[in-house]
Amino acid sequence: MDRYAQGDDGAFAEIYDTLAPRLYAFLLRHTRDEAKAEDIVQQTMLRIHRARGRFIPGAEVTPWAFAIARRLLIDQHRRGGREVLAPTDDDVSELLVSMDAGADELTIAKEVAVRLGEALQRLPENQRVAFELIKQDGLSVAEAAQVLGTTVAAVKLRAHRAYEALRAVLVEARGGKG
Amino acid sequence: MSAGGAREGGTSGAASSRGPSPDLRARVLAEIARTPAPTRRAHERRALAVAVGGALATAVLFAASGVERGTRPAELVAFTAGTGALAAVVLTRVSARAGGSMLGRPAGVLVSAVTIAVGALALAAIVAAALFPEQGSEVVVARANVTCAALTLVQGAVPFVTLVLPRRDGDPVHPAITGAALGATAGAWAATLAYLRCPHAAAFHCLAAHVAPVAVLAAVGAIVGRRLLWESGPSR
Repeated sequence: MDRYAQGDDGAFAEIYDTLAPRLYAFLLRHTRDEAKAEDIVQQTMLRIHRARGRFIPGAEVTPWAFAIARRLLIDQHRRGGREVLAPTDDDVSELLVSMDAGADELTIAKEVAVRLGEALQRLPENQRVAFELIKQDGLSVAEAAQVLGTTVAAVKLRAHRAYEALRAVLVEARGGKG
Repeated sequence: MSAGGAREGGTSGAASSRGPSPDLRARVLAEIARTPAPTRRAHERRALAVAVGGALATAVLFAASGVERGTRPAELVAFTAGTGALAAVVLTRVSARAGGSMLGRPAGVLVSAVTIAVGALALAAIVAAALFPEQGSEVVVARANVTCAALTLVQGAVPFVTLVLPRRDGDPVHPAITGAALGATAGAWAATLAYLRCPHAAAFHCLAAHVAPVAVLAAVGAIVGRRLLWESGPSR
């Protein structure tokens, strides 16, 4: 990004190739709509392009890009009315994997999926988002803190609380199975 | 090159299984080729021009109002203006410098800095009036309070514009809070000038005409920041 900020136009393709797949996955999970996800990826990349002169040497690009994409997503939800997106089976499987669930847990994933999905939706917004950014989008705690505009300690606490809440659901489900 | 800290892959499983269409890449690259954006050097030139313009305008405003000690001892002027300058420098460092991140400081840090700075300015006004009771007990007419407050607001507006313009559309995380912090920063500089140009030291006058405008500029900054520091809608 430093090269691009200094005027090397060819560097943008490399930035796109590094960021776009991760942004798209993040956006697709929230929109469930490939066209919308691609539209926001495009807007995000164009905003990065427009702001290239402001880029601070050595600053991290990933949290910046995720923050822009997240804000565009929020803007779009506001314009189109809020919609509650229930997690799909794919999401829940990813969630189970991200929580290091064992093979036996994966076999009962279908049953657990509903309860885990409900638990995820019941989490306070700040805990759910922190958990998703770290566990599902692969951001570090420091990067997630930048995206959410808060401190590393706050993100750690939020993610930990979310993790514990979801872990409790898993343990309960496992206990229920006997 | 890497994208300046962008990590490949991460732990996301989704990114590996579902990617954007190849068409999107072509569309994005074509679009950025059509819409040139300023490079760092061009941006720095513009930012420098805005900063120089802002500094000149502030200097003209300050020269027009001048320094007037009135009956205030030099220690009183130094204490109040010094507190104002200290608050302004701290706020400038916290709100105007991003700390190496494109997303600025955490919201809690900005809110704390503004709260502490405004509190310190208010406390300094009260303490100064207590330490110098002769000047602190002076009766100031309402008209002087209003005129001085208006001048403080005008003197704060110039640095505020100077601080906001280069950051336009640059804060996707908390634009209103950043705007409030920039408003308070500009207000703190204006309060410092007010303590130099205004001969009154009565606590009520200092609170109403020197410190309250800092809070007003912070509030205005929040509103302006929400609109200007992040412009919603499709990218232009």
